[in-house]
Amino acid sequence: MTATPTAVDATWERFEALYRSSRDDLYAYVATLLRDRAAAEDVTALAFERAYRRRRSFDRRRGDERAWLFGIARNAALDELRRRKRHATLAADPLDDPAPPLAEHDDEQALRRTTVRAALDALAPRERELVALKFHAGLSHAEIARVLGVSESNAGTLLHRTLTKLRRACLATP
Amino acid sequence: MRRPDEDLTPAEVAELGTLLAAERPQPTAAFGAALDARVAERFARTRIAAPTTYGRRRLLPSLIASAATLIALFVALQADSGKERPFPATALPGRSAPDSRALSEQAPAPAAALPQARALALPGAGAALDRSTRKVERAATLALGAPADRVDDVAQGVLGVVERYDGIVDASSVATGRGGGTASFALRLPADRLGDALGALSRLAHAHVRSRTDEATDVNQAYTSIRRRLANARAERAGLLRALQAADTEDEALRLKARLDAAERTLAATERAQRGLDRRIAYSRVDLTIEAERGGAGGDGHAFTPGRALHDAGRVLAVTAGVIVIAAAALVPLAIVLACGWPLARALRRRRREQALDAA
Repeated sequence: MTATPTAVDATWERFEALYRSSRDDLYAYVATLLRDRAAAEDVTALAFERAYRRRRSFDRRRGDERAWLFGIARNAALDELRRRKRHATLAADPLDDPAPPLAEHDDEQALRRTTVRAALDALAPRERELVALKFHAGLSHAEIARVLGVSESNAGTLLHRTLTKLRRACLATP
Repeated sequence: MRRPDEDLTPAEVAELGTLLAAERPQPTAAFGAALDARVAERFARTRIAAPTTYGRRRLLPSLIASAATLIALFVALQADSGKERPFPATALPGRSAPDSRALSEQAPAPAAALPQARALALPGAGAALDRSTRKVERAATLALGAPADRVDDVAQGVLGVVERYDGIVDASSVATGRGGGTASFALRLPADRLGDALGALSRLAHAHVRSRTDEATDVNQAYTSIRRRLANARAERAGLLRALQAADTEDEALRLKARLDAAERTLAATERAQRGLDRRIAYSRVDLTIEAERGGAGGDGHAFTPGRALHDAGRVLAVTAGVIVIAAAALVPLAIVLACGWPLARALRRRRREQALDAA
């Protein structure tokens, strides 16, 4: 049985809207960062819970809510990486099914996807994170800058370099 | 075909974006439903195991504040209890009569113990010395409080105690008036009954002890020195007398008489000094004052009155303020350290997180 809000709670409504608009995006970002489906689910849930509990401390002057939420998720994911490194437990569980298979209409499309996936795997973690923030989570340059703690122009430059490197890797793939 | 080092075109960026978006991980339907349910419940259930020390970090400042407050309280209580130690000097402003009386009965014990302790500490006073025979000069100062209309009665009571204990009143002064009164006494009380006599003075009707000081001075060295000088003077006089009797010539007799006169003067002075010292040892000096207390007319000075309540309230506030000041003294350096260390700790945590990403 779910609890029903009994009073108008502006912060709750804002949080709910943020959750609905960001749930899948956040999961996609965290999963790309961690490359582990189970851990990504835990960290995504944890990030939303933390955001819910800290929702009253959110300061709009310091950026928009999505950037704030992704910042929380990033910290939780990095903490998870640190913990994983300390415990040196299981080998990383890769995303065995990174995305549901698309209806492959032709061989060329399938080849392109395979090439991009290989190039993506070859990127450094930081570069993969940039790609995740931009193309999996759909964040703007300003939001990416806020999440990573860099300037907006720096975020744009980093992204451009990453895409250039990605394209180079794609072209280099036989 | 395009070369790899050529700049990206917008079309290429769009194409890459499409391909990358297709690689976007999707949450499972089960996870989505479970998370939806938790959000709908507003995370009412137990938190999932969070790999964080967030909760503990939130508790840390309150733990530090609590510890500092406890330390401040402990220090304040220690300081407050230290004021009430009866030895070596006792000052008990505002003490109630039963308390001060109980104290006055206890006080002579440490006062009596003092000369023994000093005897042991004296240079050259070896363990072979018999501590019970050492000569000690004692003195005491006693301040009594009494209702304004009872100062005279208390003064009479003092004289009665002195008489009962075979003491001596060296000087006395009693002044009473409509607004109150004061009395002062310079007393000499037998040293061997000093404790009892002070106890009796402290228990005088209508009076209570405001402060009391006991002193004890070891005069054993002076005592033996005078005794030695006295014996020498007496021996010299006896020798001179014998020599005078055996004198053959008048000149010699005159010279011996002159020496005998000087020896007798020395002997007399030494005997006076000896008597004075013996008197000081046998009779202890007690300076006693009686002061009228405000608002004490017709009562015992300890009844619960608005003025007394205000006084007590002020005292409570003063102690509270003291505790706050001590707590602040303990907390301010901690706050400074935290203020300096907090940004550093945040930077370090951020750096460690970034390192975890690099190592992933």
